[in-house]
Amino acid sequence: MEGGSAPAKTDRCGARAVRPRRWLGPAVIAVVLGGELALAVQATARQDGQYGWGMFASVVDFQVRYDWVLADGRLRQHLPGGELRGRARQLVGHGGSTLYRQGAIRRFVSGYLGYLVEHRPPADAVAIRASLRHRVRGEQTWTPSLLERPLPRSSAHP
Amino acid sequence: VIPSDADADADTGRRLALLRVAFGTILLMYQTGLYGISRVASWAPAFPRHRFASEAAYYLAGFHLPAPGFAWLPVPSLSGYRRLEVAAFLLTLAWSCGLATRVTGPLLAALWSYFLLVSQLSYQHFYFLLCLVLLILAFAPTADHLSADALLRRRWRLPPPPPRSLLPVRLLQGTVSIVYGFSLLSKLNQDWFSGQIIEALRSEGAYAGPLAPLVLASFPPRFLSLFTLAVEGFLVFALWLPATRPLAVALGVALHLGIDAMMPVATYSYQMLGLYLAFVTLGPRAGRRLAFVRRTETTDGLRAPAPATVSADRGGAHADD
Repeated sequence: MEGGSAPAKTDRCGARAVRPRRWLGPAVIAVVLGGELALAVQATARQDGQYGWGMFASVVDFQVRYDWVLADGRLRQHLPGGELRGRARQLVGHGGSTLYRQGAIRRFVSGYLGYLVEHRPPADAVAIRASLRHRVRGEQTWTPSLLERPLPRSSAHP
Repeated sequence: VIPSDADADADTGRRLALLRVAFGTILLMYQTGLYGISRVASWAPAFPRHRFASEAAYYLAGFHLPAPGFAWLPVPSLSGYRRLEVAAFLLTLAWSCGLATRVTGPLLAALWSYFLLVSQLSYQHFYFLLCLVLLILAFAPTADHLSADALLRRRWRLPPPPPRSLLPVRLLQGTVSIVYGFSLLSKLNQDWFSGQIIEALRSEGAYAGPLAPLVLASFPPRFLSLFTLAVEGFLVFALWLPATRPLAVALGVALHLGIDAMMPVATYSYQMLGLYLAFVTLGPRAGRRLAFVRRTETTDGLRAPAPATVSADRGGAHADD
């Protein structure tokens, strides 16, 4: 192996010359700051203050109601209980207000739906639905939206 | 004194050391509860302060609102979480003092990132920013000055460190502009232009502390909201330019101390002010009157190896970055 490679260049003192990797610095800057920018842009596009530095943009009031969708199409209300603690209770319990914009609320509620599907699926349900409505404080009209997450077949029909 | 950027290359090690000390101090403030002008009356230091007082308050036991994509992270018990808080406190002490920063820095960044991703802390901007900065500083050479490592290096007559790359400084500078830029972008709405947001935040209970009523009574809402927009927009670029930097720093200090006096934003204001150190060059004589600084100056009396390339810092990336 020793004879196969060219000898490394050395200076007068015998120290090995190291060629600086000129592409590395710009590459690291592009990756790190590009990642931060991408997070901020997607958060801004989704009107989600988190990761997008959008706190205090406005005060958003919201209300949310959860229903299990049963196999025959009927709805059965789900009341959040002890599984919601701390800030999670304030954010996705029944409603309230947030400084993090409406996109953050949709994401929080969606995360809670995922938790319910995974940890609290009733045998007779096929999906969990969140009926959400929000308005920017000071406005008169509420904007409704519906979030739904289906249960895996195995949990709905054990 | 805020000199020009021309001597920034020689100054990088000092800037990184100052940033480590500043953010180490901010971390210690947060961990001990000694922060926030608006909550100064309720300061009750603990070493460290535990986030959860009891099992009943330990919200990680239920739906804990993890960061998106990180719900798979294992959640510790309350006692486990408290042990991690103690470990984080000890690591912060060591890193702030510049002790074995190559080890304590990455460990600290990993631990704080874990806290961020596993819990509802991901909701809070100050914590997200703290983790971003820690991740950058943890892998940067921040112990060339003002550190136990530098003290030992000098005592053991080890060769001084080489000139440092500006890369971590550039990353922090870019982060500051991104934070201000997107913060401004989100506020470009009628609530902020009209000043209604000030009243909306009041009705939301966002103000706290004895100074908030005084400030709200002294300035019209529209002035406060437009001042915030103008300063944030100015800071996006003004910190980069030597000509506008002193004014930018002054306005930034006024903005963030004003926010900290009126709203409970944890250590966010101090973090932004600490990041200004990434823009400020100090010159070779800065702090030399302090005995500790002299003792930790590794280049005093020892010749540092010549840099591979030398370029003036004029706003672009350094050739060795």
